[in-house]
Amino acid sequence: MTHREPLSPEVLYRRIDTGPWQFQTTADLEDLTEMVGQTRATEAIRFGIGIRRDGYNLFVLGPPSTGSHAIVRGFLAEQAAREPVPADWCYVNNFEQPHRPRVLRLPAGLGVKLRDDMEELVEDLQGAIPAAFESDESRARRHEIEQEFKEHREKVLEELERDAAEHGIALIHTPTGMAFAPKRKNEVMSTEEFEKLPAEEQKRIEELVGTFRQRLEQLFNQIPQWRRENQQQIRELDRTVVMTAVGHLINSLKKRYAAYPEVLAYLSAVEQAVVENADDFRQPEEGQEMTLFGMTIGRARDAAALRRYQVNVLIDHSATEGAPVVYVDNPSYPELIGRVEHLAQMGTLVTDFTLIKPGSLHRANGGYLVLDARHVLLQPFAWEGLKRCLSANQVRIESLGQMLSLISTVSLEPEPIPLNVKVVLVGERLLYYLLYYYDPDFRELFKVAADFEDDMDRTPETQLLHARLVATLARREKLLPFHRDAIARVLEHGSRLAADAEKLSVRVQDITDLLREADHWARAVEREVVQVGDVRRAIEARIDRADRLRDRLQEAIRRGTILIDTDDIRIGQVNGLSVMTLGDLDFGYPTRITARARLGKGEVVDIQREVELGGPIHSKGVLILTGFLGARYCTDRPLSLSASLVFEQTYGQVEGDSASCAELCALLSALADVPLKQSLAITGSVNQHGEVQPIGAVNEKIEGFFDTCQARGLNGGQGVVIPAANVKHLMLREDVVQACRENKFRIYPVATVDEAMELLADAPAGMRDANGLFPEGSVNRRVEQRIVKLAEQARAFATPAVAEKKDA
Amino acid sequence: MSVIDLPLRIRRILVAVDASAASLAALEAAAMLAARMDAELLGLFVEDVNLLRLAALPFASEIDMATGSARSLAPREMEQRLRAQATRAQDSLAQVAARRQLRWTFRVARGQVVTELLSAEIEADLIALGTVSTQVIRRARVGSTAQAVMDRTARPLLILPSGAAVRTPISVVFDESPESARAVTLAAELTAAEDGELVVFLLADDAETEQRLRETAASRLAPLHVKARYRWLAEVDTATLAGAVRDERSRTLVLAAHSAALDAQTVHALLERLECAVLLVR
Repeated sequence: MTHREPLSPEVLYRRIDTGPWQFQTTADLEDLTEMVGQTRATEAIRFGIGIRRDGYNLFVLGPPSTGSHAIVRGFLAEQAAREPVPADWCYVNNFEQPHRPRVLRLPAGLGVKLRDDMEELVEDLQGAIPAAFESDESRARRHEIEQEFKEHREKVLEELERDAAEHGIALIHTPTGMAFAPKRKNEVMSTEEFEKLPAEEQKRIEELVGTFRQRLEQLFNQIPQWRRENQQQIRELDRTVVMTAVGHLINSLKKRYAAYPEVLAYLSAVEQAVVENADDFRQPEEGQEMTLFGMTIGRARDAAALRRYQVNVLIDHSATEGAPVVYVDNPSYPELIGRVEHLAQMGTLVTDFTLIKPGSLHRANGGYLVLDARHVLLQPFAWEGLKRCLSANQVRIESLGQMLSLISTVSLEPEPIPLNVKVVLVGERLLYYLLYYYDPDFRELFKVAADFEDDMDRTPETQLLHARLVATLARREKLLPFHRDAIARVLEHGSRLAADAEKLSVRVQDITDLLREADHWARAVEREVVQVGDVRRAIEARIDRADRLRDRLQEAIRRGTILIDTDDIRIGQVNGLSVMTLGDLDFGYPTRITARARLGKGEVVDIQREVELGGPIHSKGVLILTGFLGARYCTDRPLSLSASLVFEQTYGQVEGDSASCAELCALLSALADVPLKQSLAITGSVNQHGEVQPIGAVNEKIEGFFDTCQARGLNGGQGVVIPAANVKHLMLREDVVQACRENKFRIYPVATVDEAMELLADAPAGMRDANGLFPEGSVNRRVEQRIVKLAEQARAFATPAVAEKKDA
Repeated sequence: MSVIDLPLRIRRILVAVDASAASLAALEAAAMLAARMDAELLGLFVEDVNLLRLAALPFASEIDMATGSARSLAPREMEQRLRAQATRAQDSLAQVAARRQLRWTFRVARGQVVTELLSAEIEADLIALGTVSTQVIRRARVGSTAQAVMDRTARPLLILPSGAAVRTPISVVFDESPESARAVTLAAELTAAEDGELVVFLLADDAETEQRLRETAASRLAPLHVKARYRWLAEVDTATLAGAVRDERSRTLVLAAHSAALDAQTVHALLERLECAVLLVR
C-alpha cells in the first residue's frame, strides 16, 4: 500500500496573482468598450442586426444575468441611431366600406399634420356649408324650385276648376278630399233640384262630373312624380351649393399633399362624402340632446357623423430620431398586434376606425423589437400572433374575441400595415432548443442565434479584462472605487461561481450584486475605497442571510439527531456527501451510507429506488456497482450475493451518481468485513472498471463535511476523498484552506476505487499477481473470497433440490 | 272725433272651428285674446250644406287626398263625418278654454258657411278665422270663406294662417283715420300685455304729415307705457307694406279694414302675401 498525500493548500484555492497589475484601484482602470468573453454572441448579434432579410430575426440565448439584455439593447441603440426614421401610419375612414378602415403611409411627422388639417377642414366646413345654404342666393333658388312645383300643381288644378266652372260644375273640398258637383247660384245643387232636371240634362251632368273626376284622378297620380322631380332638383341644387363651398377648401389641402397619391385619393373620397352628407355639417352644435330614461345620451349621431372625417394617427414619428427600438415588458397579444377598442353606448358596444390602437409591432415598424421569449410564450396567442405577422410581413389587427368567435359585436377589419421589423427574442437556452425542435416556423423566422457564455477561461489577460469589467460596473453603478485586492477577491469569487478554478464567471448580474453589497459594507464603515474585507463580508453576509436550513441541518448532526460518525471505524458504513440547492445558496452535508450483504441471486438492492425515492441516475450508479462486482471478482461463477444499499435518514428524493463511489466502498467493506474510517467522507462517481469520475459542487461538499467536523472539533485525522478530476474545480472557503494548511483537515484526490478503499480502510487494496490472485490480506482478496464462498453456498443450496427432483 | 275715443270693447269672440290647422291657430289666438280681455269664446261649427248636397247626388264621389283614388259618397256617411268633425272641434275648444279658464259655448249650425258665420256675428264683438279650412291645393292663401267674411262682416276680424299666433313683435298701420286710431290702441294693449315693442307704420305723403301722425300716435300710446318705434311709409301699396312687415319680422299686424289710405283691394292683396296673424279693426 502506497502512502497517499493530501492536496497542498495552494491547490485548494487558486489565488489571483495581482503582481502584474499596474493599478491600485478601479479608478485607475478604463471602461470596457465591449463585453468580455462573449465574442461568439456579439458577433452573432452584429450579424443578425446587420442583415436585412426575411427571417433573420435574432434569438439571444443565455440567462438574463449574463447581461445579454443590456448588450443587445446597446447594440441596437447604436445601430438604430444610424438608420432613417420610419414612416408615420394613420388610419382613416373607408367611406365605401366603413368596417374596413384604410391605412395611409406618410413621411415622419406628416401624420399629425394631416390630422390637424382634417380637423381644421371639418371646422371650416361646419362654417362654410351652413353659410352656403343660408346665403340669400341659394335660399332664393331653393324657394324658386319649391314654388315652381307648387305653382305647377296649382295651375293645373285651377285650370281644372275653371274648366269645370265653365260647365257649371263646382270643385268642392270635402274633409278628406275633393269632389265635383253641379252648381246653381254658387251653391251645390240639391238632389230635388237635380231630379227636376230633364233626364238628358241629368245624364249630361253626370257624365261631365265623371269626366272631371277622371281628370282629377289622373292629376293626383301625377303629383308624386312631380314632387320627386322637384326634390331631385333641390338635391342637385344642394350638391352644387356644397360643391362650391367645399371644393376650394379641399383643393387647397390637395395641393399641400400633392406628392402623396394615397392622401389625394382619400381627400377625393372625403369630398364626395361631404357633398353627399352635407346635412351633417348643418346640425347646430347646441342641438337638442337626446335623452332616454332621463339619461343624456348625447348627440351621438352628429358626433359619429363628423368623426368619420378624423384621422387616427396610429404611429407618430415626428419626435423620433433614428429607427425605433422598442422593448416590451408585457407582450400580450393585443399589446403586440394592436387592438380595436369599443365604446359602450346604450348597452351596446360600438367602434370605428378612431378606436384602433397600435401594438408594439406598429411602434417598432422600421426598427427593432426586443422581447423576452418566456413572456411571449406565456401570453396566450402572443407567440402565434407574432409569428403570423413576421411570416406575412404585415400587421393585421384582429381581436382575440373575433379570432376565436368568442364575442360577436360590431368590429373592424383594418387594412393591414406592411411590416419591416427585426425582432430580437431574449431567452433561456432551453426555450431556444425546445422551440427549435418543436416549432417548425421558429427555424424559418429566427435564423440567427446569439449564444451567451456563462463563464470564460481564466488567464492573466482575461483577469485583467475582468478587473476592467469590475471597474466599468462600479462606475456605472456609481460605487466606490475597489482596491486591487478587493478586485482579486471579486474575481476569485467569480471562479467559485463558475465552480472552476480555471474559469471566471461572466454573469454580470451576480458580479454587480456582489459589488453593490461590498460597496454597502465599505460605506457602512465610512471607507473611501472598497477593501478586500468588504468583499469578503459581502460574500459571507450573503451566505449568512440564506443559510438557515444549512444551520438547522448541521445542528441536527451536532446534536445526534442525524447520525453521522466523524471518527472511529465501522464495517459497511461510509460518509457520503450530498448537496442541496435552496434559492441562490448551494450547500453540502454528510449523509451516512450503509451496505449489508448476504447470500442471494446476484443483485444489489438500492433501497432508495425500491421506495421510489431514488432518481434514474442514482439507480444507474447502483447498477454499475453490480457490473463492477461481477466483472472484477466473479467472472466464472454466478454472482450469488444479495446486497442492500441505503442513504440513512433521508426522507426525500436522492438523485445523481456522485455517491456511487461511497456506496461501492460501503459494499466492499461489508463484503470484506473490513472496517472503514468514519473520519473521512467520500464523493465521486464510479464506472464499471472502478475508475472514479468527477462530480459537481465539489467545493460545497467538502465544506459541508468540514462544517460538521469543525462543530465537533477537528481531530487532525479528518478529511474528504474527492475524484482527482475535480481538483481543478477547487475554490474552497478560507477557513477550510486554513485548516488544511494547519494539517487539521485533508483533501485526498483519488483516481480509482482501490485508492479510495486504501484511504478509507487503511489497508492495501491489492492487485492481481501473475497467478491472477489478489495478495493475501488485501481488501480485494477478502472480497473475492467472500463472493466465492457465497457462490459455493448457493450451489450447495441448489444441488439437493435437483436431486429431489430426480427422485420424484 | 268722438269715434276715436270709443274704446274697442270685446266681450265675446266668435271663432269658427273646423278642426283644421288654421282654425286651430285661430282658436288658440282667440283664446289668448279672450283671456286677455276677459271675453267669452263662442265656438261655431258649420255643417256645410254644399257637402251634404254633394253627398246626396246620385253620382256623388270624391277623390281621396291621401290615396288619390275615387270613392263614392253617401249622405249618411257625410253626415257622420261632419258630426265627427264637429265633435273634434268642440273637444279642441273645450281643451283650449279649460287651459285658459275661459267661458265658452259651442254651437253647430247647418247651412252655407259664410252665411252662418255672418248671422252668428251679431252675438260677437270679434271674429277669429283660419285663412283656409282645408289645406288643399289652392293658389290663394286666403280661402274663399275668409275672403267672403272679410268683405261682408261688420266686426273686427282676426285672420290666422296655420302656424301663426298673436305674438310680438306687433306692428300697426296708422293713417289718422278713426279706425286706424283704434287699431293703434288695440295693438298697444296687446303689446303691453306681451311686454314687447310696438312698431307703428305711419302712412303719410310728406314729412309734415308724418310728424303730425307720429305725435298723435305717441299721445295715444303714452298712457299705456308702451315702447314704440315709428316707421314712415310714403308709398301706400301692398308690396311696400308687406316688405315693411317682413323687415320688422312682425308676427302680428293690426290695421283698419277700411280707412282713407288703404282700400279693400290693398288689404286683400296684403293678406295674400303675409304669413303672420292679421287683425282687421273696424
